[in-house]
Amino acid sequence: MASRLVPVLLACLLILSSMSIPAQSAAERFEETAPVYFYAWGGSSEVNNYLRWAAEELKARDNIELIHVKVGDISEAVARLLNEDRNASAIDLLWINGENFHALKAAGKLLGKLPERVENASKINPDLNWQTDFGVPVDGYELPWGVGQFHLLVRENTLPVQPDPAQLLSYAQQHPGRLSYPKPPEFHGTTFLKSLLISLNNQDERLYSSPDAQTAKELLAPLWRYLDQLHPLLWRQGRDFPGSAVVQQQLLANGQLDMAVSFNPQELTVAHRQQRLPPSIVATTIGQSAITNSHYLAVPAASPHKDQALAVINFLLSEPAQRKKMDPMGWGDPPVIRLNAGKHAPDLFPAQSEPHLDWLRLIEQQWLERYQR
Amino acid sequence: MIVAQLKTKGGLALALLALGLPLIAAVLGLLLNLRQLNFVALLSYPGICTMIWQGLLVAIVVTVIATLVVMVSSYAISSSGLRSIIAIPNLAFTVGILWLITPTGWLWRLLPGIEVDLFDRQYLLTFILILLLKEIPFLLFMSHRALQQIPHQKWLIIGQSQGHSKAKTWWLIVIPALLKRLRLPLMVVAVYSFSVIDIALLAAPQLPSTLAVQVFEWQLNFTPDARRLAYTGGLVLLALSGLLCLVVIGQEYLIGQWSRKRLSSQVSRVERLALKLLKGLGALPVLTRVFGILALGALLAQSVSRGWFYPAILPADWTLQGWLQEWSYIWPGVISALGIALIVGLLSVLLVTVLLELKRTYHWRYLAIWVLLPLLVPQILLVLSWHQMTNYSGSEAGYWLWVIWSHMPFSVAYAYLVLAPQEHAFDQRYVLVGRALGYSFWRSWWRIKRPLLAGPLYLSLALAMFISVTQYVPTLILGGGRVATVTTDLMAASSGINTQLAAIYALMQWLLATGILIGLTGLAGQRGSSAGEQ
Repeated sequence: MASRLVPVLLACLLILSSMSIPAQSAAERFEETAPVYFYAWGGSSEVNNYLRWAAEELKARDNIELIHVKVGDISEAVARLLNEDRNASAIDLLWINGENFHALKAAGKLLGKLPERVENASKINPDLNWQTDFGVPVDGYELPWGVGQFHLLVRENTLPVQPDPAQLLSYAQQHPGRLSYPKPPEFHGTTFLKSLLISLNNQDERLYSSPDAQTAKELLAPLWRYLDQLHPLLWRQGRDFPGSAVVQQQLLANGQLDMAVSFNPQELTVAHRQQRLPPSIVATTIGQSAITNSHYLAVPAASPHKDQALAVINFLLSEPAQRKKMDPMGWGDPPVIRLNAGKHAPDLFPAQSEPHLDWLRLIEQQWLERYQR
Repeated sequence: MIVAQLKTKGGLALALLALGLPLIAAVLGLLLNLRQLNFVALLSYPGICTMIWQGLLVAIVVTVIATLVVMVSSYAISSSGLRSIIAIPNLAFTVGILWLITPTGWLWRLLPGIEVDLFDRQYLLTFILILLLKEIPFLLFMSHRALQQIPHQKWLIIGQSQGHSKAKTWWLIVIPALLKRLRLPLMVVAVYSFSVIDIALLAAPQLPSTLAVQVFEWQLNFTPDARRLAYTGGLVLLALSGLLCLVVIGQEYLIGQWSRKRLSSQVSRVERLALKLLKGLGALPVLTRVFGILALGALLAQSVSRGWFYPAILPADWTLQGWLQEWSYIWPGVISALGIALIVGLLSVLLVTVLLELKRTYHWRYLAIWVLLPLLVPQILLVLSWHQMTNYSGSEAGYWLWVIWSHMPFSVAYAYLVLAPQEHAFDQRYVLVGRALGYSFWRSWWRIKRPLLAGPLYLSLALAMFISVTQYVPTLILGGGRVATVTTDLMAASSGINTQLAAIYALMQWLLATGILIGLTGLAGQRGSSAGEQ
């Protein structure tokens, strides 16, 4: 009885909460074909192919035309959205997280109450720490789509497995010039620094909330001490850093570095299949666990196709779509919903939460002040 | 007749509006944001001084060397083979060249045992080299157009008949006249080298990068601080671009002074030696061609290979899978790019033609600066002001119109660069003869001037279309995602690790661009071999 009541109550809530915006989340065919302009990073053929598949499904199921607007960096779309007035947006759906999300949420550009508007949101795995994005509450303005895990790609028989910061340093001392990391504020680079920060401070609880000046100084000090020691032992003596994670992977592939970084849990599988990396590369973490975050879907409040966009989210959170997404022969992105029995989700490293967003800002700013002249 | 009315005030207003509106919008956008100005924050930003001197150094070195190369080799080298090199898109060219010349690059794999790490990624030297390889063909091309308006052959013969060597006549008589005509293209090269983003992201140092890259990154950040920095940095970029234009004028002045002095005196031994050494630079255009072809080969190889790591000379696998998978998805972008380019190209040439006729009638002196302004202002600054001004969202056709509109200023500028000098040299009395025969002005233009200028007209159409094809930022921001071209697809593909995907889209973009350039300039060669030339 109770299980029946919940959807009814939810439905009532939906009607009440959105008098002006008719809620549409069930898999119900739309009368007229309507487009959904989905702004999403387009740099991966696996993701692009997955979205091509989703577009075909949505066309057949819901009479929705999903159009993947490929961008090189989603902040281009965020810049556009922030620049738009409130009447109508060119964007119906966004793939975002972290700073991009917070900028849009703070500017009031996003549609709220997504968990109530999207039926399949109830299937989201409660173990997944998705209610905060970089330590800041999501508040229903975005729903998780998949999971990212920050890890190292390492040449076999070089670095120890799961190296801690001290081991990284001693490896750099024995093999100067063989390690590096993408230049902050590139997000792979800052995540590398966050991993070090967490390890060097033994997972201090204060890293998960906004710090005061004293705390910031206290916890960041070991990081800067460590980096002052490490940098002269890095690629180009730390006077320059790879411009992106892509560049770092190419340096790894051609034997100029022994380490690269990635956020995609299936990176190594896909890289080996496409022969982008030599077979001798393995994946590991800094310390015992990997910084883990979700990547999300959000709808601009001014989107002219909100109902359709919500239906797209609903589909992307459905069991078939999430299963297809985790296929290692395709994208291989871990699911965010509880799957019914059967196929298992890909193995993940033990998860480590993202520090609060303010730590990221502090790291970015102070890193530049210390090392960019 | 609509054409006839164009000559009257209606036409004047229309032309000014079409050309002026983007700039007026941009200026308004700049002024509206004046409160964002914050020089203190900019000057205290870490590494700002390095960013500025790095950017200026690169721009000045590239401009000076490119000028020297053009002076040394314009006479000897034909520009016919350069079109396909000019047509290689920046990003593709950079990726290809890096794949060849970095220490683990393919060229060095052919010479095992030799280690050269002069041209690694993220080196200033690499950045300068790539810019030179890219800019020299463009400048040579422009200088050949310019040479056609100087009776340089006659001058050389007169010089020799007076007992001066050919070389001396070239340096002392022809070069000053040539440089004067190359002033605007040289400014474009200087400002472009200073404000380029895509090449700098891959080839230039990153700690810190150049000012242009930093401004671009600030633009993509949305904290209020970053916006202020982006705005102020953008204005500094603008001011320094102006400074670089002055450097170009200064360089022209110095060379002019030197040749004037040497006309009446002997060329000293040191100068003779220097000129001999400079001749070595004549090899650069050839090198440009070789590297252009190699870069294309590199792209082609990357698009069909897998598992190609240092020091392997050949890849582990050859495969067409990438092409097969993307094949049907490539074409919509190619077709939209071509369609937009066609409209933009035709409108640009039409507009430039009308403007040039109006310039003759009303003696506008500063038209060139006004038309070329979009090339001398950092693009990201322009585009975001436009977006703020237009703020369009509505029907799909509207987005296409705005994209076409946003390509126009850039295409018009390049069309002007090619057409204006040739038009300037045209003897307008031909048109008057037509009018005397009873034709209206524009009919006379169409019947008499157009066929005579067919070559330059086709050429400016080609360049205008090419520029439209390569536009990324305006297409993305003003197109609102409705307009996907091969260029936006390429930028998305290049942001990932999959080099094969990026190589495929890069090749398609190159094919389209080079098809336009070679096709239309081929027509130009056929139709207008005598027009406007001596």
